[in-house]
Amino acid sequence: MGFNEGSLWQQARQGEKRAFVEIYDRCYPAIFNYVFYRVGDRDQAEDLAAEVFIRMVEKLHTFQPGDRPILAWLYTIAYHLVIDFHRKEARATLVELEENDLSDPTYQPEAQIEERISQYQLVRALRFLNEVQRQVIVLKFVERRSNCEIGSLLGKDEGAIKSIQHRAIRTLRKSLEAEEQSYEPS
Amino acid sequence: MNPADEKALDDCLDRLLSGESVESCLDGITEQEMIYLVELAAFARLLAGTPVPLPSAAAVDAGRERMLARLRERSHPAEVNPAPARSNGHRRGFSWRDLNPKKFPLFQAATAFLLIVLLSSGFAVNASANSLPGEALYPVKIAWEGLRLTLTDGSGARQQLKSQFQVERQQEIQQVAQAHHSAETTYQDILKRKGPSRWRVGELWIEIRPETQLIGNARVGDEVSITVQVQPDGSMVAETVRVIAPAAGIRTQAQAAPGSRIALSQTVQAKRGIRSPAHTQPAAPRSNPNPQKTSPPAGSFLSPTAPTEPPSVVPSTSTPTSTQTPTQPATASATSAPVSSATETVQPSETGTALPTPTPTAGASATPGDTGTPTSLPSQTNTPTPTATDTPTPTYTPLPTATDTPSPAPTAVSPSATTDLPVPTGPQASDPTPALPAPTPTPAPSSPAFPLINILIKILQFVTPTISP
Repeated sequence: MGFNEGSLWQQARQGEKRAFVEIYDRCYPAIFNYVFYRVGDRDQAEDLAAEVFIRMVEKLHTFQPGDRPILAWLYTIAYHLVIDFHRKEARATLVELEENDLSDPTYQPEAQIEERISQYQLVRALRFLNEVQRQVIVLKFVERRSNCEIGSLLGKDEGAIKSIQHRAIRTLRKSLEAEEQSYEPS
Repeated sequence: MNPADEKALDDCLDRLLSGESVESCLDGITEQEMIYLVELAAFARLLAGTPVPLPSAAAVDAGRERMLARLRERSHPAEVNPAPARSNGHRRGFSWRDLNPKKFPLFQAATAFLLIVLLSSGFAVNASANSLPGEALYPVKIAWEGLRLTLTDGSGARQQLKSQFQVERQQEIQQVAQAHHSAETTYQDILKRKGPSRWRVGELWIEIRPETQLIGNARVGDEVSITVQVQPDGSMVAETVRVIAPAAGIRTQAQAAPGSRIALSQTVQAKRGIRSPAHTQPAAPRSNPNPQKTSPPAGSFLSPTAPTEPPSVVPSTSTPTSTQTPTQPATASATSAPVSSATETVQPSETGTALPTPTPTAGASATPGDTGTPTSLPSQTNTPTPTATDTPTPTYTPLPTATDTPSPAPTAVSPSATTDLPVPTGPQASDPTPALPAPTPTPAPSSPAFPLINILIKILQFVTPTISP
């Protein structure tokens, strides 16, 4: 965001390679995060994120920008891809611990395990939210976007985004508390 | 929570997320709100502290390359190859998905209706196959047969189908009569015999009552359409009898209806030519006057002048008669020859128009008028009738005798009744049955199922002897 989307979009429609590259570089991280917190697997998230941009190339002509930013459209594409992914895989979005290369000198098992546990908890907690709440939480707390920015991406006003955010946090807190209680020895 | 509090909490949350301490953010917030905010802040810290997964650089590059590769594949820019967007007016190919019932409810309804109609009509036609007159599905059967006749291609096939239906009609009537049910139906066939109170139409004997409506002057050999009322006692009473195609009538192409009617009349006439004596007879009297003209034999098959041949033909064609002819005058043998020829080709056309009028005149006035040769004729007119009945031992000879019958017939009964009288009722007492067996020998030549073949065979038989001498 923050770049001149209008001209970039026009250039992309003209088939200019540079425009596509710029859109990709700017939007890929956000799309990756979006996908990762729904899929729970980095490799899958990378593949799906790349697939989002291929779809963008294929369906460029169908997109009518209007007031919506390109990223919002890319989120929509990503949403449908994730749905398809879950249908095909028919599996829960559980984060699995990857096998690590023990020969890697930078490998720090404790730190990575701690990191993955927190990610695992967060992904599990996000499953209790609906699609809009999940998206707002990721945009707000992972991507650190302002409410105004989130409202623009999701096509909602700022007040609605705040309300969604509050409800999402309460739900998350309850779900995390319940999860902690289930782990405490009785 | 009022909007002001919400805003304060949001500000506090933003400050917490930006790294400020919880204490510095809690200024001016109530205790309850503070508890809530602390909880939120704790979660926010948790979320904020959660390491955000980053894609590997290799994956990012690979994704970019995949996108660019796809872009190269679609070498044409988006503007050049626009999408099938509705706003562009572009129309894509037909897809069955276009016929979405939600979009086209009428199409769905029409399809369902059509299916129901087709299935039910097909079922009804199937069920009506064995129905009989008077039953509910019988009209369906008749309508279906009519449709089949209409759709059948080729007059030959259509005629075959029609004759099949005629047989079925008569079988149905018989079944209804045997079951002692009452029903009314109509069928068409040849009037084969005419009795005072019963007529045989096709294979059925139908009662003719005073109240029966007769449309046209039906004669033996005519094709008639007859409406039959089957009584519970099994009797079959004619309600109406209508002449469809006259027996002796020849149909010029101008008169004949197109297509099937021509074929129908031709085949019917051909049948009559073989079976009914009414056709053989009229040719004979016509042959009598003709021999005097001595026209060339070539025309004998095509016109009434044919009988001119007999002198030359007689010896060869009618070998059996030739043996008899010595006793009988030449005219007797002469008449026999033309009969055979006339029955096939000429007769159908001739007899219809010529039969009623010429025969009386030929028998009465012409023979006396023709002074020269007629000498033999007078003798024939008297003598042949008795001799004919006696000589007929061979199947062929009765025919010449038939030629003579007209002359006694008018004298015996009435001149006006010539049309009905011809053979059956004529000289042979009042019982019609003995008269009919006489014609039955004539069909002997071959099966009546192939009238055209029979005609050809007879023509060949007739031609070859004329050529040989």
